[in-house]
Amino acid sequence: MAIIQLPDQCKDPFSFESVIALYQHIINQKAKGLDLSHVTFIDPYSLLCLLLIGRNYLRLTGDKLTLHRIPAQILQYAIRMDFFAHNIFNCEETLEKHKQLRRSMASSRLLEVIEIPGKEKESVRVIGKVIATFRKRALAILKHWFTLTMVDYLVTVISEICQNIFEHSLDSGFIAIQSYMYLNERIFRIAIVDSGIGIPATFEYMPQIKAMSNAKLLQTVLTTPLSSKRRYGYGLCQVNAIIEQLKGSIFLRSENAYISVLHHRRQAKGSYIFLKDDCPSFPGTQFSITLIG
Amino acid sequence: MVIEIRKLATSVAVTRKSTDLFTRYVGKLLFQKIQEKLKHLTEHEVVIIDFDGIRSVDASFVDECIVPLLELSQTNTSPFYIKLVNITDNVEYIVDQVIGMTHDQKRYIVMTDRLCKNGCHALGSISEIEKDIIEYCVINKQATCVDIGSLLHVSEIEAQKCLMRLYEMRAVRKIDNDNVFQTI
Repeated sequence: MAIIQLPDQCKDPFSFESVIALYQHIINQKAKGLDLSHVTFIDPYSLLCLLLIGRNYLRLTGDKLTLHRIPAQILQYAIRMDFFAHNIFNCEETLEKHKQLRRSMASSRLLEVIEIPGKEKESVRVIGKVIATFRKRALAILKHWFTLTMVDYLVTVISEICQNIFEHSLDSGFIAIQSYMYLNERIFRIAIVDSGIGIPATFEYMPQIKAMSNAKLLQTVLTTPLSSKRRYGYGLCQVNAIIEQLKGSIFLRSENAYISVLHHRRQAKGSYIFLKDDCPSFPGTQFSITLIG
Repeated sequence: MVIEIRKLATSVAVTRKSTDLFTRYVGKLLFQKIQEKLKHLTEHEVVIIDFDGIRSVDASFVDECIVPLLELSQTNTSPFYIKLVNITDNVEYIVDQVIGMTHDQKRYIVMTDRLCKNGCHALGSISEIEKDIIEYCVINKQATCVDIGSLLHVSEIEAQKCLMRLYEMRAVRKIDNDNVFQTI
């Protein structure tokens, strides 16, 4: 049983693919722990996916992974985001109370990691709580983008994606939101992830879709009114339409494929949809919605 | 009949203090509550769904609450009409997107109290000609087949067909006279 070193690739969904590439190795080798000493920055999407890795490990082996040599700033951030409150990892390091980030309104440019349950009634209650907290903190979180209409649209996006967790994934999931500065860019990111059955399995019974590659299927669910459940609702297509209006970007990953739709690049008339199949397999569905500006 | 949806939502634990209506679960519950109120409807009554105090909705809510309500208005033995009032841009956008989808050749239109982004006081699956007719009715309060015939430069029979289609979707009101249609 080894301790596996994580690369400094936790900055965004694309770089985190290098960590996902280690997932099977972590499980198969029954790794003892993860060494985070090289990690200099971790974004909300990477934080949630790391949580999924830990949870999958716990479910498959019955043991918790231990996080080793966590840099102080990463530990501060993880504690502030309630990362350890979900009791998924063991942590070698502790952080004295006075070194922990304070929970004042001024530091509320985020929504801590919240678990979205897999059962409808509980999930609706939690989604309600998530939305209420987001509305309360929206002015701080969306400081540079804030309009009431934008908050309304983002509430719709959050509720649509979170509902998919209990409607389709057959598992629980997590949400986290944060705005931050990275390389002189203002970034607002919503991350919503689960490790359930994934989008390809949700549409398995639809013969016209079965033949598609997984990445093409992800593109179809984002761009075509298609629902495995609803008569008229078609949540993900609507999410994409809203993000297009807001000139944001969507990264959607499921199983061994991902799609990235960069609406903010559309005006430049360049490519703005990127598909990738044959990625390392990782169970469930992972979303990252980003506004840059 | 005026149904204040915000008030109705306060009776559901999860939306008690919320300005947002989301999930299929909430949609189903509110549809049931609205259905109870509809028992006291009179024939040709306009049911005003007042969204005052509601900031946003999602597709699941619309799918479970507004779509069945429109379906009921079209199929109920005594006809009634739905009008959404005090809707935000978000509610307008989501309702339009969801009911604007044609499905199994079934179409829905819902009237609103404002000029929406589609240039019409109605949302849903509406052709340009239907928008013109609806706006004519909104401005003039009512329209005859002759009025619409001359507006669209078509025969009275053609005009009546268009008006009847809108009536079947409860986008205009027709009480006794098959040639006179009123705004909702």
